[in-house]
Amino acid sequence: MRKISRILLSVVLVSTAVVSVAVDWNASHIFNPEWHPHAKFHDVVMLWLLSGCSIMALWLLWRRSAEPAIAYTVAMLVPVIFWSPFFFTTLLVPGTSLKADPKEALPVLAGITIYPNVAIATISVILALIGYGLYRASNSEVREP
Amino acid sequence: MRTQRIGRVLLSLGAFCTGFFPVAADWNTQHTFSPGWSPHARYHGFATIIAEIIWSIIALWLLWSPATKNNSLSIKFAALIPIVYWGAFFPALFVPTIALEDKGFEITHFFGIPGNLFFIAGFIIITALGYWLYQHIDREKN
Repeated sequence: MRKISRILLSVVLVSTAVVSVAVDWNASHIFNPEWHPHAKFHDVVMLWLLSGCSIMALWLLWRRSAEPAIAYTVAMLVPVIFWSPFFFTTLLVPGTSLKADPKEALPVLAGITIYPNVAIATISVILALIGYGLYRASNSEVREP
Repeated sequence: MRTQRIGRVLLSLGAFCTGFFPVAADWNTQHTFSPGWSPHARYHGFATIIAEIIWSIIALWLLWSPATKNNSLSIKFAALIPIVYWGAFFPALFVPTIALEDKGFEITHFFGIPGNLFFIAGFIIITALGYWLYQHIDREKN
């Protein structure tokens, strides 16, 4: 079960970094002529930070360690901390938007507007929590006589 | 023991600055509340600040919680958080069309270099020094 947990957390870490770079490294974000140069700078810093943290978490997760608890916790926290602001930022800070293009038409399901980035955030957070839960469950199995 | 404590304090300073320097520098009308920034750019600015605060708190917890403070992996990770974050500023500078400052909100330059880069280099040096001091003692013990 620990191996499945490690693989699941690795998949979430890699997909979080790859999807974020793929979505932002184009004319909708970093090369958007309407964005101020310093706003673009902050997005690039965020992507470097995310990639760095993901590599760090993968290294912690796959290295040999007598105390793996911190590695699994970090591997779960990297995607959860990165994706969590997608759920509350627009509620906390007026004038922010989840839509890169204000004119973009979004799908509506049962009267609820579906933001693709929030959907990816939700799936990633759930998978990271399942991965971490599997690690905790494997720990309980080891402790039981 | 004294050197180890100095190392831990320096690491804590690096972790604290990682969470709270961006709030002081970016939570204003030049960044998150800039009328010139698009709503989604402001979103990214805010999300990064939130992530930094959380990582800073985690690093401080790793450094000072009785459950983790003596674990070498905790110390290593607490040191990597500020280094990875502030280190990201340097490769970002090489991406075309981006800038460390917006027109009308220029930063003070020293010797032709934007002032905030000196702060950033300082945070990285403080953290690396803290880690080196901590590890130095670790090696002596073993």
